[in-house]
Amino acid sequence: MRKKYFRRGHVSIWTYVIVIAIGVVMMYPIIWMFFATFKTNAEIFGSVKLLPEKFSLQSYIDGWNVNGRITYAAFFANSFKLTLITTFLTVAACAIVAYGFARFKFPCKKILFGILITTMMLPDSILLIPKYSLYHSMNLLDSYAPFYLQAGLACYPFFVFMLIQFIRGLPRELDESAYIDGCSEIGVFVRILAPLMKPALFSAGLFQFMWTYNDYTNVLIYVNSVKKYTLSLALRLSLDAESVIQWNKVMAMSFLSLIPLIILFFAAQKYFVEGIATSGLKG
Amino acid sequence: MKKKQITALFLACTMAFTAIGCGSQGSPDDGTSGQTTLTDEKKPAPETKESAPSKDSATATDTDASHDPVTLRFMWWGGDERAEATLSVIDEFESLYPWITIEAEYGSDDGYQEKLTTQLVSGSAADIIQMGTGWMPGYVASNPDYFVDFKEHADTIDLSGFEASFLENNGGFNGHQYGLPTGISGHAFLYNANLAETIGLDFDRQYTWDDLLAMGEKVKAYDDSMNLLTMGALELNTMILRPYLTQLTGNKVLVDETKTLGFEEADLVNVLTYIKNLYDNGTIAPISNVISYGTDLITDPNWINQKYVSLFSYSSTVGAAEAACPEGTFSIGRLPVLNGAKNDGWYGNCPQYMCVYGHSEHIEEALMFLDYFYNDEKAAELLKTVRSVPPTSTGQKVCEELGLLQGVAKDSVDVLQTYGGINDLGLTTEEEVTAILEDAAVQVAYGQDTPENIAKNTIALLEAYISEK
Repeated sequence: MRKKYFRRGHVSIWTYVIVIAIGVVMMYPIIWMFFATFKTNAEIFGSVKLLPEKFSLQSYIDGWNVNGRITYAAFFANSFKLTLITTFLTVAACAIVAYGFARFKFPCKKILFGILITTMMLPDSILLIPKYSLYHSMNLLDSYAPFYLQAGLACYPFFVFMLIQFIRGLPRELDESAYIDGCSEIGVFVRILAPLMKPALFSAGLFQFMWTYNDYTNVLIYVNSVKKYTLSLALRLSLDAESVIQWNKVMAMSFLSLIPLIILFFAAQKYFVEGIATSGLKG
Repeated sequence: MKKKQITALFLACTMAFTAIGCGSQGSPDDGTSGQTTLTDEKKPAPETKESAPSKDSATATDTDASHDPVTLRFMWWGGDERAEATLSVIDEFESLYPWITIEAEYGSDDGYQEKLTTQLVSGSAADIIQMGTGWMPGYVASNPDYFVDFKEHADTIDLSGFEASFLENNGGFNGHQYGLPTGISGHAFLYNANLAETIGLDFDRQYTWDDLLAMGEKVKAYDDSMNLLTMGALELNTMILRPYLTQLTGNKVLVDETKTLGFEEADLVNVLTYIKNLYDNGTIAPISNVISYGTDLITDPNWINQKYVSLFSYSSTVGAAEAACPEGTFSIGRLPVLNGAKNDGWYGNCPQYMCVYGHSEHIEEALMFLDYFYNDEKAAELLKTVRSVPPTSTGQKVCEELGLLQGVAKDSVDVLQTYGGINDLGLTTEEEVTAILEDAAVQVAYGQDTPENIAKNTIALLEAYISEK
């Protein structure tokens, strides 16, 4: 009787126990963070108990109204505006560039591809000051234009490279049969390749979404006005060594800002795994 | 072979691109240096448009006739309380001078210096800048044109409210006043008064470094789970290593004038051995327990649960340390001084400077704002002590009347004013030197090597640093 628990396709109760235990360990920081939003500073630092002494939404209300002049509604709106547009532009632009490299022959293709790969090797910190100077001279500072510009011009060689590898794995015969049926180059990309590239496009989009949403340094450097701050900058507003930090407010807002990412992860988990697995296999 | 040539070509191209990028970095800076004449109205136009709706449109049109609208940028770091107070002062100022709009750019101290450096280098810094005292010498050395000399604008900004020698020592560089101190502050020794009384410790009389060791032993004898002090890398350097060395030698650690070391090897061994003793007898909490709290020692549960009797801090932060442990009663003690010290080693300075950007297009208006910020009674009332005890007579008078000048922050300033040590701001406080000194102290704290060997290494590193200057 016991043997049947170990048969393929039949999951033992212990497997569930282990998976749930690991899940709880992984989720613990977020669970702790959620309960910490209801605690006072003394409780957060002085006690190891998970549950707070009392529940109150005050920290969320106080945290949401930063200083009576601006609220987190603005920061959330900024974050979404920046992240969604940047992600959309990145995916669209990188896919087009990748299509060009993967399917067409043109002069200096190898040299250009080489340059593309070389730029991938450059660390971000080296590019920071030259890029800042460039955007300063173009009068684009204190706006999201630097982000949109980079995304729209496919300045993310990693995604371009990933998508090239993915397209190379798609059979050319599909394109050819479409050409025979009278499809144009753009038509092949839009009607044939793009639907097949969905897993890779999703994983590029998801990564770009997360990176942009969590980005601190670039937003810090390019954006000056508080009203244009994104969540990552806003969350640091209250953190200062010289003042008493109300950690429950910071935790409450951090928790709220995590929610979109958590939802995104759960909703798009299928594509996450699929994208990484398939692009890895065929790349 | 061909492949290699092509690779070489790529690399050459990439390097060329990078070089172009770096080259352009200097040019906007040079280009804007002539813009101090206020004639170029190109840049602020879009900003003014954007900020106009937030203001009373009637008053704005009223004054448009006599003044062109001006938008200033004011950049600072700090917590919520400071932001709130500073924004109120900006509002007051804007209602007095309706044609001036001040864009507040505030945030956390995390990444502030990186951002400021990028902006200064590319010529796009804010008009009014809150500046860290430790960074200023480096910026002034690299380009004195970055900042306005307040002395040249004495008719716009009144500096008479500052005590003259304090002003000169804080923000004065070779006779130029590039920064204005935002407050009076400095090192502070905060102790748990109840615990000290129970254990029998006295910090109100002048004590020596050796007394500190003896008191550490007393604490251990009282309760083995307690320590007299908690210190991170920063505190070890600024509150023991540097003042102890200065008291021993009478010099700064690095002497700016001669660009030499201000101490002998034996002196450094002496200090490092002292630090080793502090750890060996448990005066200071083990570094491995504390180092992960970084500069936030007050978030350590042992501080909150009164396991540490005292800590070295700054007047601007003692209030936060006191508030972090609501069950304790705290007082400010004196600071340790060596028997027969050649210099006090402790001195009062300021937590930050306010600077006006030298390439700003609206220097006049920026100075008007700072004049209001420092000298107006209403401003002082709003600002309270969010940047430590005010440095001007107006600020102090107003805060005194409001009963704000009391408590640990004020006490620490009072204690500091009884010491007259030399201000070691300069080479000694440069980032790289700070890292070298902190490393030395932390190595001793961990017991990685003998004080003699660590001293040798440290001196070699410091000499290498100086030789590049």
